Amino acid sequence: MSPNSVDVLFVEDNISDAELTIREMKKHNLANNLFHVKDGEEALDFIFATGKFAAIRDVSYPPKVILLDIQMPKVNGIEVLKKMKADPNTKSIPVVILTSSKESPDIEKCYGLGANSYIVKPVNFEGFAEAIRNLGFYWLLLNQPPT
Amino acid sequence: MEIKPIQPLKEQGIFKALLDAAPDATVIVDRNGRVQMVNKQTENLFGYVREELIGQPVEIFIPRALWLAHEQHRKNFGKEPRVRSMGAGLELEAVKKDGTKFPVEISLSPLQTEEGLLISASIRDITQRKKSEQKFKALLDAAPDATVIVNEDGIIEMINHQTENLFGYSREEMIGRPVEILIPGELRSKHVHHREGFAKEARVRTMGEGISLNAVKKNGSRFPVEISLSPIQTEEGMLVSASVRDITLRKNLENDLKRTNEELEAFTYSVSHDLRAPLRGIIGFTAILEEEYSNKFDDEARRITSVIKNNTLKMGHLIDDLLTFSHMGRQDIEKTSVDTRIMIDEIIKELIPNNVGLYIDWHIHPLPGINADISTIRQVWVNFISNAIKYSGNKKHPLIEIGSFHHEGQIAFFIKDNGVGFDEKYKDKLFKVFQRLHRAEEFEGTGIGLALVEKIVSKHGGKVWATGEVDQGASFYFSLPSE
Repeated sequence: MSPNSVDVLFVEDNISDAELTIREMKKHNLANNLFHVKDGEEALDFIFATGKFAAIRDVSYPPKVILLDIQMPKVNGIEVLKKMKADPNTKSIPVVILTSSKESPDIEKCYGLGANSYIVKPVNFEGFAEAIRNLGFYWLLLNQPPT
Repeated sequence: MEIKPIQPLKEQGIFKALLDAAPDATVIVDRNGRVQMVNKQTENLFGYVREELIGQPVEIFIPRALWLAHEQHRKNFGKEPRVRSMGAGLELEAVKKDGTKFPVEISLSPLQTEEGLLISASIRDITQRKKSEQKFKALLDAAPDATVIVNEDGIIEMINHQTENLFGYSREEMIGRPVEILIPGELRSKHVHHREGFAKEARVRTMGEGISLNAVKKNGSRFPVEISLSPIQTEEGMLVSASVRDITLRKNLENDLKRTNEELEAFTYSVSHDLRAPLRGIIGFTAILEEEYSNKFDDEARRITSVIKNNTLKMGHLIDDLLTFSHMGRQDIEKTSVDTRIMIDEIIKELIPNNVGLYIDWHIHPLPGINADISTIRQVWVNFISNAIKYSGNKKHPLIEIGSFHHEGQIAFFIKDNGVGFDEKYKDKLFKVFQRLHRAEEFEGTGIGLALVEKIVSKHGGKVWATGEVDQGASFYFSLPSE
């Protein structure tokens, strides 16, 4: 998959959560153009086509949605959100916060920074699978991304 | 009737009779300080007979050390004679014939006579009063708290040792000064106002109920205090006694406790939060095993995966409940008016959707509305009602009764069921975290529900309790302030 044909940028440091998410997306044929990065630094490089993505990515081909975890080493999800929503070139990419944190300050902060959705990952598998499936269908099939 | 002028001789007789009838010892002295006349009380009080006194200098009644000073005072009085008490503000002493000294109070009046100026001195023995004053002072000093006694004008009249120690002023530096010297500068004018208010409606009460009070030491440092006020009615008008207790230590302990609690709650939150991610992994991968590999498993392998799944589910509930519990500790309650009956009807509808629970016999008495935090009080009802349903569910005719009554000035509610009940021996454990009175295979639960209820109710200023008997049902109660 070319980095310019990515539909879903999936930012998640927990490999188990990542595997379960990707598995569920694949099950419903939603993972064909999913790209997984494992921390916030990598996410920023992808979004702004810097670092290792400088040569291979063109910012004029944005993903349809970014699934963003909050708690990550180095650069956390909130910093990623802040940077991309502050940049006119990237601010209209829809961002879905996908996190374990029910802490209300995080929720407020993310919406304040321009997050488009905030989903608390359910602990039970049925709930988790359903959440992933629904958000995949919604953002990839139902939602009309900016052109 | 004809009025005759009184004979001078007779006049003198009446005067002597009057003198003897006076309650106090009276000594009449000429302008040279010689005793001219004394009454019976003088003889009794000082132990002299009249003849020993007449013509003697008045200093005979005065301790030797003060003779010179007294002579000077006497001369000054002669220059400006008027009715007044002697030595205002000083403690006066007199001497008996046998040399014993005793405390007195003396008032002086000039008498203009044909023979010139005479001075009448009324002398009152105040030994008894001094004794009771000393007793009062001893009592004051024995009080554990600093005590400041203030007159109607807010002037400090009396203090005890503790006051000197606490505030760092000496007695002399405080007596006669306005009580506002002990109060933070910015509150002084307000205090004058409060003080006047207290005088109008004087009763024993604590000062500034519900407010954190601070007092100021001589060196300017402030410290938290608790103050109780009592009016004292005296002949000279109302005095107010203020007991001042230094609560620095208690405040520090309270703050430590608060901080420790906050840390504990933050810790609980982060632990349970961080536990969720690995748990999701275990649950998720076990589910995948079950879904995608069950055809390759034998029965025992399938049983084991389902045991894993059940345990992880339980752990999930436990973590969620712990999160709710720790969240409750940090949440502020916001009181609004709550219609109890409507809330309960909604909860029952939610807990027993459609007709599944129609076999329960509900007896719901009229219920008063309350002022409470709607979401947390709802949680209380949800927990009590779902418990009642859970623990009476295996009865042939489950009966749940809900009602209210007045209890120790609060509104109390009860939820009574005819279910499995509990052994009262263990009732202390009911409202504690992770304490359960039933095994998990009998009744599911994490042991947090009632602990949460207890926390919510106590945050509202109420109480929870329960009664029960094995197999005879249980009654759970909670009370809330009626305001």
